[in-house]
Amino acid sequence: MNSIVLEAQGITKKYRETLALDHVDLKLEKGKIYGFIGKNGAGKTTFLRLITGLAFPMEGRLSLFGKSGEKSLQEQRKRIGSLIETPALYPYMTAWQNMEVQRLQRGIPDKSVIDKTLKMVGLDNTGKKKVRNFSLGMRQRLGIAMALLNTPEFLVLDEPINGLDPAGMVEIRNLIKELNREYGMTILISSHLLEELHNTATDFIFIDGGRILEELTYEELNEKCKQHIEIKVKDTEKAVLVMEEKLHTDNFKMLPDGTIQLYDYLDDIESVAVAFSEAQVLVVGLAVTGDTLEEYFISKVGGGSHE
Amino acid sequence: MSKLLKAEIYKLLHSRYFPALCLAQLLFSTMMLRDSLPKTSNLFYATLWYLPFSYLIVVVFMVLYFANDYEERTLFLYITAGNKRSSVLAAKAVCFVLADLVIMLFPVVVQLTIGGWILKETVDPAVIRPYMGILLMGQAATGMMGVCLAQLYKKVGNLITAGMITFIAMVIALNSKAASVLSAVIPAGHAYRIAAEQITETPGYYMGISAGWIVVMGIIALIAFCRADLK
Repeated sequence: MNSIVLEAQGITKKYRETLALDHVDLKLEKGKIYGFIGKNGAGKTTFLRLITGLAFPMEGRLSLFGKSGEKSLQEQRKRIGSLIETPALYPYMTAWQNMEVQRLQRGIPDKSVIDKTLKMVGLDNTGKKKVRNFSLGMRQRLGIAMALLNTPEFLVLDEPINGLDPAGMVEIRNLIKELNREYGMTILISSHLLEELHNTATDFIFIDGGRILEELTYEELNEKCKQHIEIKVKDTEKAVLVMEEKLHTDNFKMLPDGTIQLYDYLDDIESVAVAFSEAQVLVVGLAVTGDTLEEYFISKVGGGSHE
Repeated sequence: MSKLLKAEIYKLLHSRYFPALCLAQLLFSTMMLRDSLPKTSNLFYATLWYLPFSYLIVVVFMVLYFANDYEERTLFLYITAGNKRSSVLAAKAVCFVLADLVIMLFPVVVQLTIGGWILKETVDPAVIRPYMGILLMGQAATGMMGVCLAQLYKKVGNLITAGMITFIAMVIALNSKAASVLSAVIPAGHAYRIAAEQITETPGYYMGISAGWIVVMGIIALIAFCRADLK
């Protein structure tokens, strides 16, 4: 039970006539990095806002670190760090002063935590430069630093790498991984940069139209995205024999719907067709397939956006 | 709540608008002093004569203090950090009201000090003392109206409109035929009543009215803020 950081049961949220979240059930385990994937308007940010207490669900039960009820939830949020949408910053203050406001409101006694955290995100040398003069990437880094100030047990990041250059992306990715490794921090990241997310997350949650479509581990996702020959046959038992005896391979997987995924012969699909034909196995589908995360995402939720 | 209050005071002291508004109010009220001096019997009353008109400054302060926090979403940082919404609102309200008192009453102190020296007119503290409670409570109640409006109309445009309408309605009320009655029930009118030497009831009466406004405005603000989905 203690390993569950967040549990959502039947969470529903409506904005006027728009159903933003539709009976969302989700469990996040301690120490994992979750990639939260969905189109614009899929309900990602709404869900993150519910987690962080900015909005209230209309139905359902949310628990954080095993505690539920609005009062307890708010208390547990002290263990969370978050960056929701764009960083919320005081433009007339410096990076250090922005951090100082957060330190004061969180009641962190040690001032040195500010310099340490700013160094962590590469903003330790911004001096007296006001935040209004910061680039988008610098603002993003400061937003992340503010989320990290209390060394949270659960970090919620909404589009954290927006506006970062490629080197910045790598830095933040490494930082996220390091925080996860060093502190066992549970991290939930929503991002449109799917390949970047693929390089960072250990688990993936797909959301569309306010509903959770699928939850996959990194291995499961890779398995789904792996290049393979997808074979659909009438007689699966005979097809298995053909693959073992004629094609001399056991590198295949049988899916519950009878589809066979063959990971060999990717460059020689013709031999596979011939083997089945000679063994008089009726093949109804035969194709080389496999996705990148982006392709897999599009195949799950379709193109376009809800907005 | 004390940590939130510390954060709010830190923000306020690092803002540019707070000293700018203090200065603006000092200049405005000093200009108006030339007009109010002949209408009143001493410098203290003269400093309060046009105080209700200065609430335009409070409207500006309200927008800069609250609406910016909503627009920039910096207010949300307090919520996501696990602070109770009621504590967040209380800290902001206390800081706003205190700053409002400084903006509005700092010129009165300056004018009594410097003006008294220039005009060679000293005001006996015994004249001021009975009105201190009325004045402070009246200003605090007016500040709480700002707190309440800010929770009802969060966006800059909406809040400016709501603030201006409230200000104009107040000016009209205090200049209407019913001004003698309305200036007693509207906290902003208490300063005017002091200036016009129309304090007909005990200080407790006026302070009670202001306290009533503070409680009602506070409750409305609390309900609006604690139930709001913050976007």
